[in-house]
Amino acid sequence: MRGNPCCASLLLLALLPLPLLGQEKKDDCTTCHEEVVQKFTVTRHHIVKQGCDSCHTNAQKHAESGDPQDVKHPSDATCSTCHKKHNSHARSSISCSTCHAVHAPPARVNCQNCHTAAAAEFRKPYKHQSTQCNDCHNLHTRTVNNDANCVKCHSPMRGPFVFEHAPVRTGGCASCHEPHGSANPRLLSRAQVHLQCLECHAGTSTPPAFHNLREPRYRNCTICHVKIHGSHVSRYLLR
Amino acid sequence: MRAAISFFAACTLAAQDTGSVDLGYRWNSDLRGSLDTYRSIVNLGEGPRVLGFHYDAGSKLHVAAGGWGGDPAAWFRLDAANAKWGRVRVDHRDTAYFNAMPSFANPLLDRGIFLNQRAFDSRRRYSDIEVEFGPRRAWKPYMGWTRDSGDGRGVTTFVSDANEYAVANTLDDRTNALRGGIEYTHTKGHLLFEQGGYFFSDDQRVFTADRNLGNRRTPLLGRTLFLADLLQTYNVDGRNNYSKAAASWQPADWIDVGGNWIYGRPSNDIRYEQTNRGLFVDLSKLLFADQQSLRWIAAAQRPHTSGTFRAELRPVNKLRIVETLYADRFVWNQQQQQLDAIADPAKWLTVRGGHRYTWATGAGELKRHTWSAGATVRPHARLSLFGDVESARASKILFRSSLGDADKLRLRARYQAMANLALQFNFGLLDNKNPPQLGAFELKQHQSSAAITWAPRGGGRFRLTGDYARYATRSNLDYTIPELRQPGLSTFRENAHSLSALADIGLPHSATLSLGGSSYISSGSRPAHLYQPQLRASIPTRKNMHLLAEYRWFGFSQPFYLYESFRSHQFLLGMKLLR
Repeated sequence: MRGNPCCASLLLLALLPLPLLGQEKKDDCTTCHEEVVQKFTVTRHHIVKQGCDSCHTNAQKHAESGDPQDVKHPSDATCSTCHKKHNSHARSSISCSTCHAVHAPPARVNCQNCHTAAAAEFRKPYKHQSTQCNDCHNLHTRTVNNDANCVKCHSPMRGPFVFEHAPVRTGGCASCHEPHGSANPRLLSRAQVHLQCLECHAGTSTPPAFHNLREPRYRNCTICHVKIHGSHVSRYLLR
Repeated sequence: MRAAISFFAACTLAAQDTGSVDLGYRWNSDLRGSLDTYRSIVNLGEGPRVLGFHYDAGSKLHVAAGGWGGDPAAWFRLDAANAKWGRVRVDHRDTAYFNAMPSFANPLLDRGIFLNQRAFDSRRRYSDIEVEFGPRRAWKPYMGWTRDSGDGRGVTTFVSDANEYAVANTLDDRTNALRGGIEYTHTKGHLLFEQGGYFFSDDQRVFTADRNLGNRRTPLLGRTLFLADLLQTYNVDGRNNYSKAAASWQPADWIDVGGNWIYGRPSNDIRYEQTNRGLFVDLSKLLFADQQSLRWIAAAQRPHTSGTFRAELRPVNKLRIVETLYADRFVWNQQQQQLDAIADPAKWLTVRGGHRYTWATGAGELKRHTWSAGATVRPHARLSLFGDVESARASKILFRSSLGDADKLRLRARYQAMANLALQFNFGLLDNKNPPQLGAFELKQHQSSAAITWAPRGGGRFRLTGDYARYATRSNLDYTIPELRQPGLSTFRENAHSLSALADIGLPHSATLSLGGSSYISSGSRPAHLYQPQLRASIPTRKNMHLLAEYRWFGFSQPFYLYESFRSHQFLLGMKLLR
């Protein structure tokens, strides 16, 4: 073959259109999907040099036949080829495209479209001050470190404490607080503080009898147990 | 610095970029009722404000901000990407945190004293910067820095034997966290290594120079306890270095495996000093003292390891089996194992089922099995139905108020009735009934909500968005009355309705009028009414400028705590500049 100029010429002819192939593909898509391609050019996918056929395989066949069935429409598995973050919504059959517009610039993800009840909790009198859902929620479960998300801002409650308050570690903040919003001050899940505490502190861990609930001092547990989230110097979280 | 300049210069602005800035001046008028409650719930003050700002240069640069000028939640975000240099993300939040409810932590309420003894007026600032270096290639190094700080003042209690005294308190804490790592991405998997750490300090100072009789009403053994002066300092210095690794791999088309592992060694050094004068008692020795001085040094250190493993198998087409393991070793050891199967027997149907086992050991013990099943049905392109049920049974629980024997139901329906009309319905139910051996705990919660988005003819003339939610919570849990050692019953009831609606009406000359608002009405253990109607007008004066006018009203009342009610009128005048 080395000595056969005819074969070399044929090979050269076959290779000639290759540099133009990408351009042709783009033109092919633009011919029919101009509006989609126009939007796509300002997306991050375009910046990282991903073209239509990166996700829509068989695009060439579709371009030739014009049959919509010929082109493969991407699934969540297609997204995860590059985006290795696990989609925690997948268990509920919520696909990536439910929240993300692949062909358009990134828009603010509107969680309340689905989570209407959670959105309504932010209209309760005492509500959390976060500005966006992903300030607290890891939508793709990529954790920064192994601290709970709440202590990202509420860092004095992070610990480790010399004397831990058990629910802070095991049950998390939601053991006592309603994180989105509550009708009770401090986002507590009960209207009266002493009942919040006594619901767990009953039985073997009942407070000593001098806690006379008829006195208002003892109905406000946290005015004595000031370090209720954990203390470094007091076993009873008094200082 | 030169690299940074080059980076932002590369994010060149173009004619098609869009942006806007909303500027305004707010007045509060006729604020009546409890100012402390107003600040604890609304906290919007008067003065000039940058209400909103955004700038979008395609996917190269996105800048947004809002709430600057004194509002309780101000924020700034920047996301700049460049094919050659990489990506920078900045997130900054400045939050005012005021809380001084007259009825909360106030043992002097029945004496007519409206002083919250656990109040604070503080600000939290949170900044996060993450930089991804270089073009998007297989290897991607990144670095991040987070700073979180808070400072302010407040009221807290100085606790002594037999009495406690409300005193002034200053708060000051700072955390600096650094992280850096490298991520390798391949079509068959990815690998990530990250090393990070934080440095934390918390300096609290509690003091008074005024004579204070405390909350105790009666003398002790004929002597009246009091506090003359106090200085209490609490300094905590903490640090944590952590290592993190994450990986995912697809060895064959039918299997995915992945997981992550994080190991940290958080530790704190503590210095506590206290000097107080007055008259105090040591109940263990029954000794009175006119002065106390304490100095403690303590340290806490505890390794923290957590990890997850996940495998997804696709033995046949349209069937996925997902196994997830989670473990956390810290003060308590918690583990979870979950197995789910998800099948798509038809294009319009997805069914799933699974089992989760959660177990933990520590001060208590948890052993809970949870079974789940669900389906997503898409009978029509415009309608999707989603349902999930979960049933949990526990032989051991960590706390009496933990969920043990719980059943959950979630239903969701989305209906795109027309191209411009979308409806959504949600229903959630939680029914927990712990058996007596776990500590009888009954909790029933249900939430129902409906939402509508209606934009006839594309929404140019009229657009309506609204939702209604109803909540009901019913909880019964017995407890022991400390002084009587007799059983009592803690009951909590909440029946709440929440309604929110906003109608945008297009007026001649591209002016718009928006009216609506939200309301929250509840009855039960702590009934509350909160109304927030609003009216907003936007009038274009030039091609790129709109005048804004807004009126809002806040009304809050609680039938059991009438002294905490307030109402306020707010007016805002401003302009919106568009690019």
